[in-house]
Amino acid sequence: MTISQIISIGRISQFLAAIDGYKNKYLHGVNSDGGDLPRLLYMVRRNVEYMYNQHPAHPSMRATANYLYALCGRYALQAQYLQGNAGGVTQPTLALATIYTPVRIQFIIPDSYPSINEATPVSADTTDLRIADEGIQPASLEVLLDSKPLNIGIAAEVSYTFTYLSNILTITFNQGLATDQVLTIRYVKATTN
Amino acid sequence: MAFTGAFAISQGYDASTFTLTDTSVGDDPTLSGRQVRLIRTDGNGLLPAGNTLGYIDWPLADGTTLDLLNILPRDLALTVQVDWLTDTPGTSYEASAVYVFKGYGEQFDYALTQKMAANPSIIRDTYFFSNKSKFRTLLDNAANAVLVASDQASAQLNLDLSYSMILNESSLF
Repeated sequence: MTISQIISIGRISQFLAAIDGYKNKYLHGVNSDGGDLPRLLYMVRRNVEYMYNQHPAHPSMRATANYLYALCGRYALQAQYLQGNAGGVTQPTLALATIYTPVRIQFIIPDSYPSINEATPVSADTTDLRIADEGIQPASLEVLLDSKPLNIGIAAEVSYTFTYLSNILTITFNQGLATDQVLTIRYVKATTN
Repeated sequence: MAFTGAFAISQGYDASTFTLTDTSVGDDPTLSGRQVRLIRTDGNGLLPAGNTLGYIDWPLADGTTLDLLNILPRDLALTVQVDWLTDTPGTSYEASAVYVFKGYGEQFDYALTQKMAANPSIIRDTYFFSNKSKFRTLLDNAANAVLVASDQASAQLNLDLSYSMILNESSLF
């Protein structure tokens, strides 16, 4: 810590001590153990400041500055905070929180791919369904057809496989779906903030 | 531009010495010399040892700074007057101000803090803290008397008291 920083801390500590003293009715007079710390800080700080301005290389400069810092006591750290210069204290960094959000998509299978309603991602004449979304947790994927969960990769029944690449979830059914069936896709996506 | 005489004073670590700086603006081709007078509260002048002129000569050829070495025997409040002389009879320029020189006191006060740093319990001695506080107050008073009111007499009174404390160091501290 530089002499200049100590002088600045001493100046702020003086006022902090004065405020504290008045709050606690703690000013007992200059010569008691309770002491007049604000006055003491003022006097010593003025001395250190004078010598620092006139003769910073004075042999006792560091010793008297350290004495001033010691007098500041518990006010020193508070003074540094007030300066926005809390030496040696690292401000805690808040860890990024991961938020998991359930997603549910449900629709009725149309006859064909609807050119008008492109929001419907699959039709009776296609087998691939693509959903663009970030943070999909693949293990959470569930696909239901008419409220019945579909299995993955079973050839003897309506089933599906899937990939999730570049934020595109591709579900591939092993056969075409029937018109007017209700398809439900559920998964969990993760986001951070 | 018309000439306006002005000066500034600075004092460094050496309490017996200070420096005058000519900060005048404008020009007067008839300027021929400068003189400095240091006037104490009793009206007497303060002069370097051996000076019999009654003023301190500061030739224009010497430039804008004048170091007055070993001129202050103790802390003093002085009226500093600078006269710029011209070749035109009866015409001169003058600037003056009151200054407090308290380097001796500041260094004495610093030495007291050195004592405290070396022996922190000294502030519990019966008179140490109160006398040091009084000494600091006298120095501050002297500075404030001039800063607030250019009151040379009050400033000198406070410096006399602080000087007395320095002389009685052994019994007060």
